[in-house]
Amino acid sequence: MTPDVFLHSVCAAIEKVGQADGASLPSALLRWVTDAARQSPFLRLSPLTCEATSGDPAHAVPVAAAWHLLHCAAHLLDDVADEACHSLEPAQAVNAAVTLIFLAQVSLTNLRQSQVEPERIVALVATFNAATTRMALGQAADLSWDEDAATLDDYWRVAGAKTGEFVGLACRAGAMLGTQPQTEVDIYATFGYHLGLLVQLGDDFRALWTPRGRGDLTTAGRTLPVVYVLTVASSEARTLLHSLLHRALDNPAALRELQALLADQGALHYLTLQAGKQHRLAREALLSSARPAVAQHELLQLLDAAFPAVARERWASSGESLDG
Amino acid sequence: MCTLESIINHLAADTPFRAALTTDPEAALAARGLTLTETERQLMTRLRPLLALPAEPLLQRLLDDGPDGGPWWWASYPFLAAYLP
Repeated sequence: MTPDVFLHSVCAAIEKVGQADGASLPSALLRWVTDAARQSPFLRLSPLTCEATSGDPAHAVPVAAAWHLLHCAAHLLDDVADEACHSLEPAQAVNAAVTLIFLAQVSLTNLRQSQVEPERIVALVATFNAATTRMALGQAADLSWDEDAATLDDYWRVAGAKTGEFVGLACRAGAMLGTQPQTEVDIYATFGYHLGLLVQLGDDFRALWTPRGRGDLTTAGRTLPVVYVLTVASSEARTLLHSLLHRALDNPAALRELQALLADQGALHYLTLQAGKQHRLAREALLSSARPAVAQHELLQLLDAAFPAVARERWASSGESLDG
Repeated sequence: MCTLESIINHLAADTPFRAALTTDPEAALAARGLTLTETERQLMTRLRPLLALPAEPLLQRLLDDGPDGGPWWWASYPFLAAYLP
């Protein structure tokens, strides 16, 4: 199943659950969800981990659809939490998110049509629900984030519970379609968890050094570079950082000053070091699987693309290449 | 502060340390009483070409590898408002 065919199938599966039982999802919301699916790099993860564990990637279609519906719901809820919900009234956005969450469940139960064993479907539903619960608890910690008191441990706890768990879920669910032993499923979940953290570090970097607008900067206080500097800097530097975080929202000169302060305090070096660590942990997890396969290779390529600078160092120092 | 964070602190503020890390990392770390586990040592060795850079060239390297290329630097979600009547 080619990536294009898979993506087309996922969009068709989303449209199907969105129009099931005479309760159609508003067409605007449905088009937004499917267009987001067409752009999402995450949708490759479930079919690849399914294939890597000798499963049929076609079975991953309802799973990837369910995961994407949850991702869209999380996006809407994040916007409400960050008061960045400009498209819908907050109450409407919450209602849309709840609808998408339950449509994800519907999508998983559609695995019956692919002759997947009922026990495995129940296990997948339970896995989705457990991961979603952990993510919601991570979101709760995020909502009570205290910029003055946050530590690096807090950062990793929230990022792990939110992004790590979520990307880990996509990989775990795909592997559950291909294999039974928990130890092997855990390998792919661990890969996804660290890949998720690596993607988060990339997002943190982008939010601070190439922000697309005010929205990226409103949550800058929760990024790793800022938390790192708040942890290690002098009280004078911390005071300046707090001030710059607020002024940078609307002031390009303050943003440049903020970027310079973070860089001077070693935040870029720390980010690079932590990205290298997450890359290594994800790679080691994947290579611990005894299943060399084309899908495995594609997963490694996706990992390397998540933070190319640290992956490139590996190639330079060990003689490995992207295709090697 | 753990050892890795201490190293980053030195990298940010201590130019001789940054130079020493490039030429003789073991000696540079030992001179400042920084002891690494084997895993941390491997990580530092692999990333040394990046970590030994001053902030500005490191930033350039990170920017050169993104942020608008590659599958993970996607354009984020489409703007929902564009879909609403």
